[in-house]
Amino acid sequence: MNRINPLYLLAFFFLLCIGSLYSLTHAKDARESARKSYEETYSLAHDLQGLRNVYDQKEQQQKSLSLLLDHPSLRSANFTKEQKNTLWHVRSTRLDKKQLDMFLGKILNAGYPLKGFSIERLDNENATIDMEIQW
Amino acid sequence: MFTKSKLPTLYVDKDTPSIQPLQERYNVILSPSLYWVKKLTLPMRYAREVKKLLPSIFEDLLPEGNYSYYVYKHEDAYIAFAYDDREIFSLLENKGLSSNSVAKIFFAQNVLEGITHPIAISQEEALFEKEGIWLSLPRNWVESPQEIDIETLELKHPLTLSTFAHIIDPKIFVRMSAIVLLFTVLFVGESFFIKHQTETIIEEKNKLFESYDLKATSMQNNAMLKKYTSMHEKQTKIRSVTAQILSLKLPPQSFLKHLELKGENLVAEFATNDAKKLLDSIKKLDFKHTADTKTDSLRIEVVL
Repeated sequence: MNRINPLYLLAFFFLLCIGSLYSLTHAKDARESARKSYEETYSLAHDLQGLRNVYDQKEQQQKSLSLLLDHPSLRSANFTKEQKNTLWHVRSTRLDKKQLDMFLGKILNAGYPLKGFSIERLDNENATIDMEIQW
Repeated sequence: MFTKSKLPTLYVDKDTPSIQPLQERYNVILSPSLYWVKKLTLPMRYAREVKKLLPSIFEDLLPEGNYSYYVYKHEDAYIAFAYDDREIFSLLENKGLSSNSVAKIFFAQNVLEGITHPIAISQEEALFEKEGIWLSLPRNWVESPQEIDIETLELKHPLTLSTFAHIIDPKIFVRMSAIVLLFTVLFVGESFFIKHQTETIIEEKNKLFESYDLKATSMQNNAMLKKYTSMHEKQTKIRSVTAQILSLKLPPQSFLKHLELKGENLVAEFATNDAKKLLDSIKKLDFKHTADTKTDSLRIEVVL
């Protein structure tokens, strides 16, 4: 004989259903949260990688700067390079317009972390430059 | 279908006196006065097809109430029953038989199958068969009924009473339960699927840490990003302001004397005899500045 009240059974099934719906909602929230976290991490990683590719290239940039200072076109500018740990001090007491253009073009178009510089006009054709790069 | 039970058997009628149960459990035979029975000859092959028709077949016969139906095939006909579960339970309880003390319930019609003579049930009641249907009649209406030991009867077609049929129609209950359980299964299934997706996303996120060489915590990574972003903003501004100053179209007899970046300040000094015009040109540029104008020179300072 049926001794369990069907309403109790139905209530139990409804509770099960509500429980599973709650579990589903919770699972959806968890997925949304995981997805959001993934997107944030991806965005952060992507941005960080982009910035590192520009500013975290110490050795490559130092090598590239050394090559620039040794460039035949800049040889007559007599650049001097002074290194103090991660700070590089680059100077030329006389360089002409073309050399200044070339030097500034190379420096400003690359990701050298400039700390400071001073450019002083000497005459119509020449100038001095004093630049600090801090890695 | 056939039950040979060692449990004692009781015949229950509306007029049966209250029973003091001596045994734990009883088989119960219901008097014809507790159900409606019809012998049907229908062109149906299966009893389940006939059962669907029973509510309409008994419709005119039954008082208002909730009835259950039962049918089985007997020779070329169907023996169909209509009964009120609640009323039978109520009667049994009134007679002192709780649902726990009832093992199985049988219709008198079924267990008396094969008997041809009238049966004396008590001093007042007798059972009489007419055209295959057993009827309950006053004993004095029946000619020479015979006493019978009901323990010797072969118990056939036990009945399943639905205790709660009056609360909810079993069909509706089954349908509702099926729908609710179906949704439950769908929800649970989707939950598992989503949990699997979540695990995959978390794994992919962990792979990002390896492939992008990130630090262990997001706090460290955010701090690093902040450092690089700040550096990038400053370096971009240095380059932007410097480029704008160097590409500035100067008035005649004017030139840039000195350009200096020191700390957060970028200072430019121009030699000019038309400081106003030069200053107007500088004002059009995309940076904020302070200017110090003299007769033959202009000094501007930009805070980065």
